[in-house]
Order: sequence, then C-alpha cells, then structure tokens
Amino acid sequence: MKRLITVAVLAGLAVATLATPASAHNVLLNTTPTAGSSVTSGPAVVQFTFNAPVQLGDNTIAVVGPNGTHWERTRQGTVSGDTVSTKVAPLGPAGVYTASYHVISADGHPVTGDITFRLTKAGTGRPVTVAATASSGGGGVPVWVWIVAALVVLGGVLFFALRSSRRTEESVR
Amino acid sequence: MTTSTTTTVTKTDRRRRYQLVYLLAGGAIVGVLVALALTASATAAVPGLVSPSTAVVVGLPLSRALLDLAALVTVGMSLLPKLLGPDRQKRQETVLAHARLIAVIGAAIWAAAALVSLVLEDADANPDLPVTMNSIGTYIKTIGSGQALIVVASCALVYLIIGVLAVRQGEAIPAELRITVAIFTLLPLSVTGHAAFGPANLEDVGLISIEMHVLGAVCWTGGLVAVMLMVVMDKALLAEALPRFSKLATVCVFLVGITGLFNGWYELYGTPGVHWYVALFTTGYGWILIGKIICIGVAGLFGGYTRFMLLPKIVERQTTAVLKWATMEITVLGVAFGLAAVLVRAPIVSGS
Repeated sequence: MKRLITVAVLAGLAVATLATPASAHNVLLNTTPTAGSSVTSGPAVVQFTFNAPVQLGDNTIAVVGPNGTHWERTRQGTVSGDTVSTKVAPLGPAGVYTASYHVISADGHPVTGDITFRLTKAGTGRPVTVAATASSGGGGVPVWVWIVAALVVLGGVLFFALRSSRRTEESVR
Repeated sequence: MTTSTTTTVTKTDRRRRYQLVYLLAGGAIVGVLVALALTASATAAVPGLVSPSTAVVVGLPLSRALLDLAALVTVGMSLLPKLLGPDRQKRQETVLAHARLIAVIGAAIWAAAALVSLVLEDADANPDLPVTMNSIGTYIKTIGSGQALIVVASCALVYLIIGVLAVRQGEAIPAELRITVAIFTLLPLSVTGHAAFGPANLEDVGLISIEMHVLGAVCWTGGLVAVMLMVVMDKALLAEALPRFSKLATVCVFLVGITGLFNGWYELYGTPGVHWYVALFTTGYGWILIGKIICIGVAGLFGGYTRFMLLPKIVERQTTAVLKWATMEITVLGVAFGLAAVLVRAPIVSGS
C-alpha cells in the first residue's frame, strides 16, 4: 500500500509540474462606461476589464437599448490581455442600456455577465441590425425546474432502493 | 448452509450488490440537479447574447459525473488485487477475473465520457458557433481542459488495452501497472480547472491539494464500490479485504476533507471583491461547497460506523448489515460527485 501511495504522489507531482499555472475564473473588475452610471452621450467603445487574461475564442459583447435594440458595431469583442472591448454605434433614444459579455476565462470556462448604464440625452444614432441574437437556452431555466427534477430523481432512487431491498428480504426469507 | 440456499442467496446478493451502482449514479444525478439549481442565478442568460442550450447545460455536468464514476469504478477494480492481499490466490481468481472485466468496461466509458465532455465543453464555451470538427480542434488548441480531456481519453484507451490483456492473461499483467495508468488518467483534468488559481506562491499547493482531493475521493469511493460489488458475499475474502480497505479509506477521508476545505477556501479567498466567509454563505459556489462538506461528513459517519461497529464482526466472519451501510455511504458519495461535476465549472461571483 505504501508503494501505491508513493506511485500516486509521484504521478500527481509529475502532472502538477506540467500544468500551466495561474489559470483563473475571471472576475469583472472594471467597465467602460462604469456600471450604473449616467452618460450624456453614448460611449464610442464598451470595455470590460477582468482580473485575469481572456482566452481567444467566442468572446462576444452586446449593447442592448430600449425595446431590445442592438447598438454594438461587432458582436465579436477585441481581446487585449485582461480586457475585451467592442466599438459602439452612436446611441439613439435616452434610457437604460445593457452591455453584456460572454468571455472565455483564463481557466477555459465561459463567463457571462452584464452591466447597465443610463443615457440621459437622446442621441441621433440608429440601432444596428444583428443576426439571430435570441438569448435562448439553459441559462434561462428557472430554479424550480432543477429542484423538481432533483426531487423526481431522488424519489425514484429511494423507491427503487426500498422496493428492491424489500424484495430481497422476501426472497431471502 | 445447504447448496440450494447458497445459490438463491448468491442470486439475490448479486441483485442487491448491483443496486449500489444504480444508487451511486442516481445520487450523482441528484447532486448535479441540486447544484444546477444552486447556481441557476449565476449562470442566467445575459441580454442580447446567445446562451448554451438546456441540453448542454444539463449534459455537460452529467457527462462529467459519468466520467468521474467510470474513473472511480476503474480505479477501484484496479485496486482490488491489492486489497485482497497475497493469500488465497485460488479463491480470489474468479472474483478478480470479474473485476478485470468491469475495469475494462469502466475504462471504455471513461474514454467515451471524456470525448463527449469535450464536445459539450466546446458547445458550452462557444454558444454562438456551431460545433464542428474544426471548432473542437480550436478548442483543444486553445483551452487547457480540452487538452486534458484528450489526454484522459488517450490514457483511458491505454488502460483499456492493458485491461484487455489482463482479462486474457490474468494477474500476469501486474496490478501496479494498471493502478499507475488509472491514477495517471485521473489527474490531468483536475489541474486545468479553477484549481490553478489564487494568491501567488500558493498555486503549487493548490494544484497538489486538488490532485490529492481527487485521488482520495476516487480511491475511497472506488475501493468501497469494488469491495462491495466483488467480495461482500464471500466472508473469507471480505475479512481479508475490508480491514485493508479500511486503512486506505481512513487516510482518504481525512485527505479528502482537508484538501477539500483548503481548495474551497482557496477559491473563495482568491476571488476579488468578496470576502471568502461571505461568499461561502451568499454564492451558489459557496452553497455547493457546504453541500459537499455535509456529504463528506455523512459518508464519513457511515464509514466510521462500518469501521468501528461492523469491522470487528466481519474480521470474525459474522454476518453483518455491511452492504446496507456501504450502499448508503456510496449513495451519499455519489451526491458529492454530482455536486463536484457542477462545481468544477461554476463561477463564484456572477458578472452582473
């Protein structure tokens, strides 16, 4: 058993030293414009700064204005070290705008989030047209669905366990 | 005991024993679903961007859980020759022949689950883009866990080849070789996730700690599954194997507990903008950690009962309810593996 554990520890150390250090699940530190701020004119660029580098991949940014209109010039963000940014078209009506991001974090896991800012003075811009941006999918599944599913499986497991242990007792008897 | 009763007992025994595999898997599914509920708000869809489909959101942790369960069955079956010890070679042979076959099936599922996880991870990371061979290639090139999954699939295939040889040639293929390959297959994935993150100069400690955590969890659960599936009906072999497993499990319980607490703290501590003790109680990540702590505690209690109340009787070859207690322990450990399958990719703080 001692030999086994030695083998295991050595194998572990070997792999640990091969691994690239300093991966991270990125955390948003700063944004331009500042989250929750009010601006009188639309920002030319939306930028998100994280605590760790962003990996190449599907790094996307959307700027959504009143009535679900889109204002980002390109959805694919430009990555530079810890930041991802995209150019924004001149904004239109005054109101609340949401800037959302989906980035590949340093550890390879996708990270998403959004901030809002308020445009206090209407601009002259027109929204951009974008291809399918339906924010559909599992991210939108409400909590209760998972809980109900968990309870159903738990019930099934318990039913199965109790039934087969009762049957076993009968057949042993 | 007459011959006729022996056969009926063996048959029902087998049914009862295989039940624990279903309970292990059922526990893992419950763990995955509970963890998805706990992290639902942190992974909610963001306006204006495409989020992964529900199939990917559920499928990814389920395939990771399947990968982990296949890994622990394979490792447990590989450990079995060592747990049975050097005596009673003849009596062990039927049991070990069966164990080698299950290990081969486990390794095949292990490799397949790694490849399925790779496809699902690509779909999860790039919800905007269709999954193609090209996109999977890019994912492997750029993302650490993509590379790790390929290494895992390859090593599992190496195990598969060695395992098939072992099925044909028996213990002539040394158990140590199978154990080493299985453990090596276990480790690459754990160092590519969040583990390698945190305050500088603690990174290496974090990496080794997460590896010891995975190793301990797999040897504990896998060893218990192997002993219960393969030798619980043979009192002579059980009296040999369980004391040896018990020593291994005692080490593993403390190893899993200490490294788990350290890595949980390390992740929360390393996250900017939130105190770790606040994050523990206010984030989905923290709640899953608490869930895992409860699971390890409960499983440890079941294990302790087996160790202190049942083991002395088992050594004297008395009949005990050890299978019942072990099955409960394995089910709870299954829940812990399910929670872990979501935890490994869960964000600590949501971005909004």
